[in-house]
Amino acid sequence: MTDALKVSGLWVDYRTKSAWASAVRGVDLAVREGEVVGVVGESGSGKSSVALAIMKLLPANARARGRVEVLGKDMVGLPSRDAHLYRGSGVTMIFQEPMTSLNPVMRVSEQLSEAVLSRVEHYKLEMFRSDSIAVPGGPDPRFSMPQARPAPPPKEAIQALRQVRIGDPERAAAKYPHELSGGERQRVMIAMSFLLRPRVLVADEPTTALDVTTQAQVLSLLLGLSKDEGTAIVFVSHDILVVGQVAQRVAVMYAGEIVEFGPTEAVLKNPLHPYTKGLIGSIPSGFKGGKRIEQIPGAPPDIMRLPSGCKFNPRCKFAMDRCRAEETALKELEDDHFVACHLY
Amino acid sequence: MSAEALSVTYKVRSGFLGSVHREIKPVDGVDLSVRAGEVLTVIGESGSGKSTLGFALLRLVKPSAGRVFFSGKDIGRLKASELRALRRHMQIVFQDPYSSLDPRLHVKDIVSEPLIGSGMKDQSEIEARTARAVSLVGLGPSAMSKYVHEFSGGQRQRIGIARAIVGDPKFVVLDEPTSNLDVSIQAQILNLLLDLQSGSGASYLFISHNMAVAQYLSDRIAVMYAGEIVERGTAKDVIGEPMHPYTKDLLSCVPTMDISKKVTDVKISGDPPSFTDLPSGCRYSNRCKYAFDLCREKRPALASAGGREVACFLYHKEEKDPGASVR
Amino acid sequence: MSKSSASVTLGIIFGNWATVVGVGILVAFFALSVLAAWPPTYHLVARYPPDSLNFGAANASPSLAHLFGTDREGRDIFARVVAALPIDIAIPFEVVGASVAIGLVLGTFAGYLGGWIEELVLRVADLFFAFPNIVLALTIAAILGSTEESLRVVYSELALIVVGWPFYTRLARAQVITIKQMPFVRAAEASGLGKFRIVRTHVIPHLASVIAVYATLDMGTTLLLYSIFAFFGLGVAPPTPELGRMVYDGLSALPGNWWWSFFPGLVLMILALGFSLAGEGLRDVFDPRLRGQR
Repeated sequence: MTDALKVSGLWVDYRTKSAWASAVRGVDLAVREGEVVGVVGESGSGKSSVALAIMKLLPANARARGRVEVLGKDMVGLPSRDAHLYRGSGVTMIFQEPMTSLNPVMRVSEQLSEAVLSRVEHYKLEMFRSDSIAVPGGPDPRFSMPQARPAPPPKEAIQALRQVRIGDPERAAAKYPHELSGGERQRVMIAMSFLLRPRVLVADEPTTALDVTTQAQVLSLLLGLSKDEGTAIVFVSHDILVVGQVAQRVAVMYAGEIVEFGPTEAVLKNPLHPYTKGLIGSIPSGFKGGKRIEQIPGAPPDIMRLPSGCKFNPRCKFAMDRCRAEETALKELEDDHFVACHLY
Repeated sequence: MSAEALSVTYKVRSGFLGSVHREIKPVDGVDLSVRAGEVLTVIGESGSGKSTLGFALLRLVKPSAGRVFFSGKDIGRLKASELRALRRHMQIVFQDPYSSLDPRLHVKDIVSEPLIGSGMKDQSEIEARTARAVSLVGLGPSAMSKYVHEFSGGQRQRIGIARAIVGDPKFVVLDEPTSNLDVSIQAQILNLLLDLQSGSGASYLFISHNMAVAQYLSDRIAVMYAGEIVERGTAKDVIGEPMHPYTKDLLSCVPTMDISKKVTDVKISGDPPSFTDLPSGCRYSNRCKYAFDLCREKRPALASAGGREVACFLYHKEEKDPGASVR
Repeated sequence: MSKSSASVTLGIIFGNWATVVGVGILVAFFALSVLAAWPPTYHLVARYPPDSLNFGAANASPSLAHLFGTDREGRDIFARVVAALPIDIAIPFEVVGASVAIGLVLGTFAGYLGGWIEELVLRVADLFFAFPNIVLALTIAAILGSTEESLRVVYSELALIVVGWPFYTRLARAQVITIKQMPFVRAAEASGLGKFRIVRTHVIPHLASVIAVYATLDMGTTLLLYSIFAFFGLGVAPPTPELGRMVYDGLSALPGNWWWSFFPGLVLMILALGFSLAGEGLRDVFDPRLRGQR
């Protein structure tokens, strides 16, 4: 299978008063077609910056360096006027709080229809701009130019809502986003993704604001999207257990770097990096009065004041002199299981 | 701390110019008692009324019906000044460590608030107790005269906890105190809370949506759904062998270290009901796979079964439909 | 991390050139007006007394001797502008100060207590909102001003206060309602603090920052609004120098003796700009998002 998304040597820097601070420092990541790769990290680990860089949605005071290839095309160097071509049909994103990414004054059906229309737009733009980039994944053949309808069918919108298992799709389609529950809104966002048929989907904490029962439903929808459409999904989350439910492979980020990367089962059952071990050890398990959960002392470092050597060394109980002096790099320790730690 | 038939009612307006008046009951006839020195967790999803229940117990919202007893006194009958004097003994830790601490005050002024509120005047005693609380939650003495914006989320929540424990409370409501924190920081706070609770012998009412956290922290668990308690018992019983269909479904949706157990295979239909549109009979009947006719007609009461209390007709033989079977 | 709050504040003020200019203008004008208001120091600022007639030097265009030229009676315009500063700076402070005081008290009560008090306060405030503020102010000033010549300054200020307070009442009430919902106010209630103590320690400090920003911005507007009074023969009575009046009096001589109205107008504008820039700067100082970034 080919890599739908290939991130290599990605750096994301934010402009501060005096200098550039790097939130992401040299991340490599590849996601195959139909695969879900989890990116796990705590706040400040740089995981959201990776997601935004893939989407070309970084704020104005940030810059990305390195390569982000979607189906073989580099996106980092793409001029921002072409970025909208690339988003939508090539890659798309769902966010933690869908309210902010839905238009509050448009009915659900209109927004879904717009998603359909934008697919048509993509195709039109393609025709007129032969010098522009090829839209990854290509236009949907059912929406070739002559059939482009000015008023898109609500049928397709309703169908998409049914696909994401919204109770009463006709009723939901006529509503405004604020009239829906959090779970329904997130499902509308996923319905939109279905309509766009993206090759790559970036999901940034898509279930964090949801209840567990709704979370389970949303997770199974995302898995379905990746299985049925072959969409490559980057699943960004702070919760390694949620990632464990959907991802085939998982990358653990700390202070802007991937410190461990491997098949989900291997990372969860046999974590190698002390940070991953600590992260898993700090998940509450057992009953009161039983084994106390492990805690990682201290807090993640400020990206303006990173420690020398391994970025985790001040909180690591195994830290040696070498950890304080020498940077770490990912090494393949087991089959497809990488870790960046001087212990190995 | 105990409550009898506690209800909280809100009036909501909807329709054109608020022409339609409706009442919602986020807490509907709840009986609850927190025993001395125990941690009771109220677990539920958003909109289950669990936070409102916590607020009503502390009389931060006024109950529409029912009574709340604290140390044998009906706090609804106390004069405002008597209630204020009592407040340092019944405290709360809020969910959001950012908005629950006034950014314009020094840490010592935030933490000492319950002492001042209860009418303590002796400045040196206030100072000494505040310093003790700040050190108990693991912050250095230099924290006292800093502003909260100088602290991280986890440290801020420690400040919030210090404020709650400064007056040696007998009862503390913890309203999802770790749900905005990273996992590694959450672990620190959970262990801190366990230490503080066992050290002080106070009763904690922990409000949470996180099963793993509830299991780790509590002696007993009460599961809340749509304003009612549907199951209550020891943590081992409720989490280890859930009986109410909602508790079972909820637990099956929680991701665990065992990734072969896929939550994505769980089939639960629909969303939690809104308070303006509750199903008749049992409130879970529209999502429950065991529901039969009686469930849609009558509200089940919380009654003992299997060593705990459950509000479900599957377990109350006299009312049970002979055709339905458990599991 | 350990940066003190004061140094952060100074950092924000001087991090933005517009704020520096705004604060600079205000400080310079304050200094000038203090020197001009006190007779022993007056000569440090201006060479001529503001009201000495000198028909020999009448209608002189700007020169080194008379920087801003002279008027019909030979009075030095620079001297008159300087002499007008104390009154023109005092007016916005008095008007806005009084409006804020009334609005803060009424708005806080209305917002925190709610109920019929809130209804009453808001309805009365709305009554004043219903009229265009300049028309209302002029009408009130005209009615009051016609009776007593010597109290015209007070009356015209009163007119502006009548127009000004409803805004601050609404603003304070809206802010109080927001702050009342904040969990830290809930926490204070849970701690047993009384209503007045909560208002004093939690509500007012938050309110103060927002109101200070609007008040500073409003001072420039008030200054300009007041100068309009002169066009209608209201406000300060001649021969007391006042910038708005000088602009108005000079208009008849345009375009010939342009300096009669140009320089007072310019000073008026710069002063209003100073308030406006300083207000914007103040907004940054109180913006917690900016604080967090530094």
